[in-house]
Amino acid sequence: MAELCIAGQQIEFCWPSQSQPTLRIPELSIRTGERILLRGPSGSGKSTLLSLLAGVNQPTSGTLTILGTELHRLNQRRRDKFRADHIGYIFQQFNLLPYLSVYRNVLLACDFSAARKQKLAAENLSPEAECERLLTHLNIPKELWRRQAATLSVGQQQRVAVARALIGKPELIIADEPTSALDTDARDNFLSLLQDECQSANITLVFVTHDATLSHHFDRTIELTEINQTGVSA
Amino acid sequence: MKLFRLALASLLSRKTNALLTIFAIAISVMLLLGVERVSQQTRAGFANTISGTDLIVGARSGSVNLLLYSVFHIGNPTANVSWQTYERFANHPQVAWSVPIALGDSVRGFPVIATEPAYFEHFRFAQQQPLTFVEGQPFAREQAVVGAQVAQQLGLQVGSELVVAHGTGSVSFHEHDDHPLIISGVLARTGTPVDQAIFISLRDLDIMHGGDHDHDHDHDHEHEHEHESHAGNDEHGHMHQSDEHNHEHQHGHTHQNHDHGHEHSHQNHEHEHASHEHEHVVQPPIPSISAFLVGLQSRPRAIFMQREINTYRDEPLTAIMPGATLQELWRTLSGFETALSIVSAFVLLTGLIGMLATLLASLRERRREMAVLRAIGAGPKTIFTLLVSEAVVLTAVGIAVGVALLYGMVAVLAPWIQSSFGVVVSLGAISTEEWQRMGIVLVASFFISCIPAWRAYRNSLADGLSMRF
Repeated sequence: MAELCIAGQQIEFCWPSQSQPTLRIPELSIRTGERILLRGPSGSGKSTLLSLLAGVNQPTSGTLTILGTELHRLNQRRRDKFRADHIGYIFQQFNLLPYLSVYRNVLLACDFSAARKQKLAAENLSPEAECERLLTHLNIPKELWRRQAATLSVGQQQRVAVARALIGKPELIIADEPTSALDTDARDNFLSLLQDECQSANITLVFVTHDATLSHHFDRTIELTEINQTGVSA
Repeated sequence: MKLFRLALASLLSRKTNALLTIFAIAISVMLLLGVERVSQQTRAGFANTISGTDLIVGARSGSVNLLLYSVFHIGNPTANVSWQTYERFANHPQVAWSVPIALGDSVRGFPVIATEPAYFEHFRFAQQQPLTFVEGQPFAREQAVVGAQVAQQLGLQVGSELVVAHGTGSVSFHEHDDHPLIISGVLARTGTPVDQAIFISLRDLDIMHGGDHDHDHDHDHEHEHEHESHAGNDEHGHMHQSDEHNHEHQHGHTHQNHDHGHEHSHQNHEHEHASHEHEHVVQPPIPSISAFLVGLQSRPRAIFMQREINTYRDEPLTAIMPGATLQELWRTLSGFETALSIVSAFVLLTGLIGMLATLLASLRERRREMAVLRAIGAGPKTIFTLLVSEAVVLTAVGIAVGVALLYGMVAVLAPWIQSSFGVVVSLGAISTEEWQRMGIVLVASFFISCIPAWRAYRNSLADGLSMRF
């Protein structure tokens, strides 16, 4: 368990249009299989950190190693591929392409990643079978599978998003306030389903929220204001 | 291919915009190809209308005008050629054959050409192709031969009766009810103005117009009789023509083939005198003709023969070489053709700009979609490709619909174009040039779509995974 999923040293990030760095994190380490709550008020650089973790942006300086890969050594295209293969990303809302069916939305993750398909094939699973298993497990009624994603409730859509993030067992799931649009019951239900899946597949989870009350669901809470040293100016 | 399916699904979710864009492109493509097709076929049709005739001779007028009425049966001769002059050139040693034609009448808008049966023997179109009969044979007296289009449209066949009217409009001033002609033959389709023509004998035309009757003809008696009733019927509607008639009369020409009316009945007397004077050996079938076609013994001599005719002292004449005048006519029309092409190019540009506007407008609502695709691993290049392929799909479908519209329009309008302008627009296969034009449209759409695609690319880099609503 000592293996690190995310390891960062002296990470600094500055948006091109700004003079002050948005992030300055001396050290960040998250072990494989850990379920982390990343907490911070809005404006604390959460989204920026997530874009670094997902490999959409790269640190201005410092190193960020994810799953043993130094992301800054990869070019744009390979970082996109890396994300497709190893990272499941869940947005606050509007995770699904409204014009595709629920089913197609989930399979989309496999369309963009040969590695996910291979991983399923290694377990003798077809993407379709895994998709059905996940949707069933996430309590999406079967009659909704062929419906257009836009016709589902917000809670259902978020659970479908989880299925898409999980299909093909990526090593890391990043969830950006996925429960902010849900009521308490739906939120707890969502969290326990997500936790279950991550646990059973040994997936590292980085769950971002501004809601401190969720911390008891997680192994560890990282306060962004504590690790981000630009807080001086904030 | 998965990406392509994605683009397609995305497009279908924005059906209304997509359909409007496709429609705009389809219409511009239809125009672009239609203009090209009509001018191509007009050009081909032009070149094919007449061949094998070395000279066309008419009264002094512009060469294009002479070509238009003698070959295309459009418009009227300003003056006629007397039979004597025709005979003089018909017997010229350089002339191998000559065929007189007299115009001016019509049947339900189809021009009537009075000529001699030799017309069917000497007239050539396209690559020296002669006229052939689907059924029947050349006309004799009181008979008529009809072109393919006429036969089809008026439902005529050998043995049918045909009533010839005066004037060239669809609504004629007067119908020669008393002279029904019997169809003796139907010509095979040529794709030239011949298809719209009705051919009768010169003599019949003259009699219809109140010319005198040849006394030695065995039908004489009958005709005399008919003629009287004809003159009697003329009371109505012929006042319009009296000005024109007087004018012609002052010129002292013999009988104009298309003048007409009850004044003739008064003049019959004088006419008879006049024609008797002109009767040298044989009585002319008609006092004057509109033009005559000439085939020479030696083709290279055409230019000399043309000069000789143009400088003929006894009567002002114009001789044209059909090929050269066809080219001249085409040149006058090509300006129009260019103008049409420019207009249709601008219509196409408008269609493409419309697509650009639609794509740019859709980018804002599609930012979420882009962010989702980025999150699951789509690179900015994938986003770029997605937008470009969407535009190319829209254009490709637009082109296909445009071609379908074009063929639909041609199918619906071709008969009308043919009967109104004598231009045969066929439903032929798509030509190389048309493929080329379609290719240009597709390439243009590709480049134009790079603008929104580039913007989406920049957006997806700048936005990262954050969704900015």
